[in-house]
Amino acid sequence: MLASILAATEVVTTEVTKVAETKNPILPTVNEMFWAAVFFVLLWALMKFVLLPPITKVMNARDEKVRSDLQAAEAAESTRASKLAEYEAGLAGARAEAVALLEAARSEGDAERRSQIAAAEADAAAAKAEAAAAVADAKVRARSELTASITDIAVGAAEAVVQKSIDRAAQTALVEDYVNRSGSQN
Amino acid sequence: MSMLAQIAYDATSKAEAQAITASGYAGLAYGLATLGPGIGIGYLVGQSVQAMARQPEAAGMVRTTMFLGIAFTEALALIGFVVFILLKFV
Amino acid sequence: MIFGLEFPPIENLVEWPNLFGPAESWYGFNKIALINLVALVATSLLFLVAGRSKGLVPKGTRNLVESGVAFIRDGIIMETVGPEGIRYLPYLVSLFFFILITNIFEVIPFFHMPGNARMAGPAVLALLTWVYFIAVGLKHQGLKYFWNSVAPPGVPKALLPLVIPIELLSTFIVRPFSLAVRLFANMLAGHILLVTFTVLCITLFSATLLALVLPFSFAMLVGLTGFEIMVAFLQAYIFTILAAVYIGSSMHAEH
Repeated sequence: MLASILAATEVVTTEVTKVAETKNPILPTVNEMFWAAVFFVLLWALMKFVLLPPITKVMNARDEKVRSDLQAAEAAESTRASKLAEYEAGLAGARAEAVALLEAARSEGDAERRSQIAAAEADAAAAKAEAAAAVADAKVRARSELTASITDIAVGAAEAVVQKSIDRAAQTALVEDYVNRSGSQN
Repeated sequence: MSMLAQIAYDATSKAEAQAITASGYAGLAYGLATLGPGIGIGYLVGQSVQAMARQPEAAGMVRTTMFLGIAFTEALALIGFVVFILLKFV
Repeated sequence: MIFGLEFPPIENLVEWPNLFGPAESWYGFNKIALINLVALVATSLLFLVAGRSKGLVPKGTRNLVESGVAFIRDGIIMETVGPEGIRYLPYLVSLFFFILITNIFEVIPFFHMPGNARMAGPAVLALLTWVYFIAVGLKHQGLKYFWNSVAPPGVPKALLPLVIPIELLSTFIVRPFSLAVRLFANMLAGHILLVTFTVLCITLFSATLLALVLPFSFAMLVGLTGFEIMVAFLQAYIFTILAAVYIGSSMHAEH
């Protein structure tokens, strides 16, 4: 019994010392650090000088190509836009020209018509004035003839009545005055 | 058998008894260490999702910042985990 | 031991005997070193095959490699550093592919071990990144870099005694530490998760009633495998983008 207890104690103590001897599973070990450092630094050097440059070169070339293609597309787009603008400007110019021609023709015709109307009106006015002058002339002549004949008649009648010659000038004034009065009356 | 266990317990040193107690509390320590980071990461990701939903065009930037935030928040839980390992196995 | 479930001790999960070299030597070559070597060789082969194909239209391997490089250039550098960060492309591409391939070994048959579930790999990468962003800062800002990074311009003078220790700690100590721990802990957690479900499946594969649970356990294992592939990719992305952010932040003084 005692022997078995002692043996058990011994087993327990050896277990305990084994537990105490176990390495800390968290702390890094030197050999693993050494190899990790060697391999990583090797990878870093390779990456910097051998592995990465071809990859980045092609990637940059592709980016450059994409960018230049994009720029070319943009340039084509802008030339297209400018051509369109040019064409539209030409179209607008032609349209404006046509409108201007039409306008000029219309205004020319207008002016022609207006000048013709003015000339006709002037002709008509001249004819009217001529006619009016003729009328006025005739009127004056008729009036003077009338005055003369009336004076003659009146003077002859009065001489026949009074049997002596009458001052002709005074009678002429009288008759003229009468004719004028009657002319203004009617 | 129980007498054997009693003898074995008596045979352990005081330091060993302390180690056993520490091992018992290791789980509790880790459980406590998860609480804060759990809440923190949940809140962080929730807010990030909200930000991405409100501004989908900024999703890339929000995602990068979210991962950075998760990394910093998570560090606490991981230190808790390391403490757990230290208490339990060392 | 629960229902006969025997979970292996953690050192059996993550520690590997040397393939050659003595046990405790500084050059012992074990499975983790083999995974790192495969990451180096696979990445080199991918890029060599891709670089040899000609023509402006990418196809096959070239397409794969180019989309990876374009992802790092446009999705990481352009978003965080800007066009002047293009010169850091080789470092970030190496980081991304190295971490991705060492991570993806978590689900590759006969390996089933993420190379970054050991602290060594993440620690080396984080230290290199730490040196790299300090070097970039020194190159761009000279010795003023240290002052600019611990005392951001615009901070009131009275606050400086408070700000300087915090910034010193967060920039030069917490950054590399969290960078390494994030990657390491994610991969270790994923590895333990997969091991747990695998052990569960093996245990449930028995002639007892418990075998009824086996399909669910196996479906979970398959789902988690997919999830771990995503995590492998995500952690490579996060490590790379954080490295880019740190490098970018040391190019110019913070505003």
